[in-house]
Amino acid sequence: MPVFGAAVALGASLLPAAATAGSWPPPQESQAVCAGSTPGGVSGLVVESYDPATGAMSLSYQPACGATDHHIEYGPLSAVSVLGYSDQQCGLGVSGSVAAFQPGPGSYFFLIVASNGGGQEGSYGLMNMGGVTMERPANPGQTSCPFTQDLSAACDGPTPLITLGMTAYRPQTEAYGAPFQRTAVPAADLAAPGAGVRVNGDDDNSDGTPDRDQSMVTGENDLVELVLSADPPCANGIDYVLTRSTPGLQVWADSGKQTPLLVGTDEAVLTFPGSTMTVWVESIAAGAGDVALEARNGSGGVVTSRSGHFFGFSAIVIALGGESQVPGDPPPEPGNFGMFQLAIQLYRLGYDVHMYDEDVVAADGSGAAYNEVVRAIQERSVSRVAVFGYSHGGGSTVDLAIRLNNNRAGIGAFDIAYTAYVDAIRNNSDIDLATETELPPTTMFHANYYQNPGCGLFSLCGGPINGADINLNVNTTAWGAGLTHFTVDDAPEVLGAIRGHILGMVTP
Amino acid sequence: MHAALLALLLTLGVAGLAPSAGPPPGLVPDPAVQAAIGGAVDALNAGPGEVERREAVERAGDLAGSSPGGRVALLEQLQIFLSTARGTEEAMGGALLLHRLEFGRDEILAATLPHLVAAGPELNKVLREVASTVVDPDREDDPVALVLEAERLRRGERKPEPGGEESHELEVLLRRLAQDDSPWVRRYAAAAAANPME
Repeated sequence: MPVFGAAVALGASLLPAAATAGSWPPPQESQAVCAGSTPGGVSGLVVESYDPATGAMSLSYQPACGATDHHIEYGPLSAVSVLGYSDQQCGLGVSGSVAAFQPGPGSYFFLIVASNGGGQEGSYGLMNMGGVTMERPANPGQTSCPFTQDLSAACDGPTPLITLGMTAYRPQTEAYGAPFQRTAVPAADLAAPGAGVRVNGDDDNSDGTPDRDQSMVTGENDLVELVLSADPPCANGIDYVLTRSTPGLQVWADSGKQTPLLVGTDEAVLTFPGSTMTVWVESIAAGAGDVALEARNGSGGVVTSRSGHFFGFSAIVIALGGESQVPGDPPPEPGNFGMFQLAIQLYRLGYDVHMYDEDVVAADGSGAAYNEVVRAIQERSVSRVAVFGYSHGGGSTVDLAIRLNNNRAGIGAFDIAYTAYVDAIRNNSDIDLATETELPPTTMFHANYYQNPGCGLFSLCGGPINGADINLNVNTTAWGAGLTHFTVDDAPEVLGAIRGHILGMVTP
Repeated sequence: MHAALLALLLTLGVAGLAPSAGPPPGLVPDPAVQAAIGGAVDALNAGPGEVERREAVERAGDLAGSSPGGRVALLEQLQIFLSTARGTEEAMGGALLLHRLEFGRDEILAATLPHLVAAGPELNKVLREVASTVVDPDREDDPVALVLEAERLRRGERKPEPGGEESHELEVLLRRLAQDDSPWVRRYAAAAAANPME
């Protein structure tokens, strides 16, 4: 009858699992293993049972990261001080348990090593030699299942310094890149006040269903681009996780809502194809929330994170240029097209701005600008409207406001929170030269900047508006004495005043 | 072509009013006149002072005598200028000139109505706006108002009355216009009948 002595599992407890104190089993570590990594080390080796009659042991262990197989290295206990390996037991798999390890009569030390399909094996564990912690040397004489140890890219190696980034962009208006350039939200603004997103209750694919209630929307233009970055793009043992704080925000892998990421779930593990990846944020309800990118370690702890605040627009700003001024970013001439210069500034400051050639507003107020405002109110939870315009664009401002007010009952609840004229000329036709005199109905604040040096032959002049909160003939000021109809809309003082009013009175 | 409109064309042909080969040729910019108009507009935009204003008035006065085709040809060129204006300076400056030159009703009809059908969208818009300045709002059957109505129908900007048919409504209008006293109105009717729908 064979005599079975002690069996020592290196680096492991001989106590049965049930007798182990503390947090056993250990928390499930992240399975994130980056391409090109070599296997890590086994942990948590436990002798679960021992049959004194046969000497067979059953074992359990925490499989190594990056392993496709495991094997046992063992040797006589008398050679443990020099790690004199005598044999291997191969092909343990990755289950984390060994039904029967039976080295034979005598006393043995043993340990479990991970391997991958490429013939590489991982760590044999650490040992202390003369007060120095070092890797146990590998078995140089493997015969049953030979491997080459490679610890250079061990998947459980030290976690590198992880740097995350997040850049949100201003909304797509009317198409992406036109008329407004694709513009990043300044990093300092991303946490507060955040990035505006249109509540996606409109129907860009004209199928009768609000876009927020469906996926794969042709023509969808209400999602906001969000570029995420992770350095390194993959870190062993680290999961990059995208989270949201509210179901009112959804995140998609594309702007057309084809591939959901955070839809019906608050977290998603991301795989970065490179150093950056682009996702798209959708708002499906009024309100605000956060989207965060977190780097989580194996126990779920957040190593580092970046987050952005996203709010649904509740206001819309309409900018109307003068006759024959076509919107562009930048406008066709620097120092000209002041209404569009201002519109671009407001867009970059986080407003949902729509800038138009004033001809989109017909004399009865109908047209693209009116339709955009009505959609915003009825389908995108907008409740405040601001409109400003220059020359014929001023005339169109009142035309638009009149139509909105006349149709108020059918449109829904909204305020005309702010209006402004810059030398407004009535716009019943492209050749209408009459001074605009009408106040936009129900406007909560109207600013009227005009030039009127004494209007006569060959002059275009704005004039005072009865009921306006501000009526300023710029020719009476030191800075505006020389301004004409063709320069008043570019005056920094005028543009700055309107910008200040909107920033102060109209929350985006 | 709608049979009734064909019949209308034949009627106009008998009356010697049908165009021999489609609509009248479109308006063509005259570089010299366009440059003169541009100079006058620049003078208008030069500044708010008396000197600039006097210069602008002189330029406008010169302009009236500069067009080899007379005032009608000048108005035609001014409309081209307005339809191709870049920016408010040109558009509103051109409009100021238009008002300053004080074109009469016949000049306006001659410079607008014959060209409506052949004009592209931008020029057509300007032509109609200029023509609309001579519509008498107190006259229910003002022929220019009817021309503008026909043009809206022809360009699909207005739907016919409920139960009506565009071509029928247009035909009725054109028949009426074909009998008008003004040769310019009749010329429009002939051109529109030959090109009933855009």
